[in-house]
Amino acid sequence: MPTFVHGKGTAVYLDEFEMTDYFNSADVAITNDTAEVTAYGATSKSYLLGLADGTLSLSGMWTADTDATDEELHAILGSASAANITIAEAAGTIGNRATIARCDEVNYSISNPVADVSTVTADFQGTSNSGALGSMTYGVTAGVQLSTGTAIDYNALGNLAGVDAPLAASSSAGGAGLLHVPVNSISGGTTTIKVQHDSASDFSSAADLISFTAVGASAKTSEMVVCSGTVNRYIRATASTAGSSGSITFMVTFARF
Amino acid sequence: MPKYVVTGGEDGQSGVNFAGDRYEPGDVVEIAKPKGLWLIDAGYLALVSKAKPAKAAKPADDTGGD
Repeated sequence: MPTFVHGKGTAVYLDEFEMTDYFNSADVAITNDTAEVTAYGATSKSYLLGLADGTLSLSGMWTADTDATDEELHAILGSASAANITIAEAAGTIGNRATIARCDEVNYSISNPVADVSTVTADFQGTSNSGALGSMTYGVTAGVQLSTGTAIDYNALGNLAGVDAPLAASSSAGGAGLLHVPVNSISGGTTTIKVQHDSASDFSSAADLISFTAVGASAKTSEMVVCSGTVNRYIRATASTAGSSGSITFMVTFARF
Repeated sequence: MPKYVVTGGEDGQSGVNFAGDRYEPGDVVEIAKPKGLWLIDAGYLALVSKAKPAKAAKPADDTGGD
């Protein structure tokens, strides 16, 4: 029997904020243009595959709380920096799928009905033209969750569980890692988060694939890093800190290109 | 045993975990059976005789278990 997933388990991360508590709908559309090349004499239409594209639409409850929907969706509208977004399906289990995106917000709508709760809707356009991430192949793409998004004490950081490739084989076109750190109380030093890959499931010969910028003490952040070349079959997130107290909550996702 | 230096990979920053130890770029790793090791094939490790290590061999602490 197929394993179906209920939408209620979805988690949404927008830059350095976890927005799961505010949204109740997250829609993803990934398309690929076609150009018609049908000529005289044909009996059916023919097409050439064109450009890939992706959009997101998030909707939920309006609130003026700090770091919540209205503040953050207003802040990124028209921003020169594209937003980092992760939509994690059945969130909380390493290996479950996620949509990772580098997007420009193109619409922010607020609805205040007289007999219902105030709501928000935000539409995003994925962009592969992402400044320093110029080599990113897709603006919106499918990835995998490499962390659970739950708090980890400073002295319990380490290697998280590994994830096998979808086709049980390495890939050769690089990928993108996306980090969100919405909660961080680690003090006394920076925290380093990486994505590693290995040909062995026990990671006995692992190499760093992606190194995110060190996360400052108590800092919240988000970063997308792309890599090129071979991505071995098994990947995992790993974290360490020079801090001496506190905990950190982070979500790492990775997409193979 | 053959000695290999951690090259840092494409971005020069990639360390490796090998046999339970952590090695950063420039560190030297002794490998008993290098044949077929993907870290060598992928360029994360290079023979010391073909690359100058940045510092002496010294495995750093691993980041812990799963």
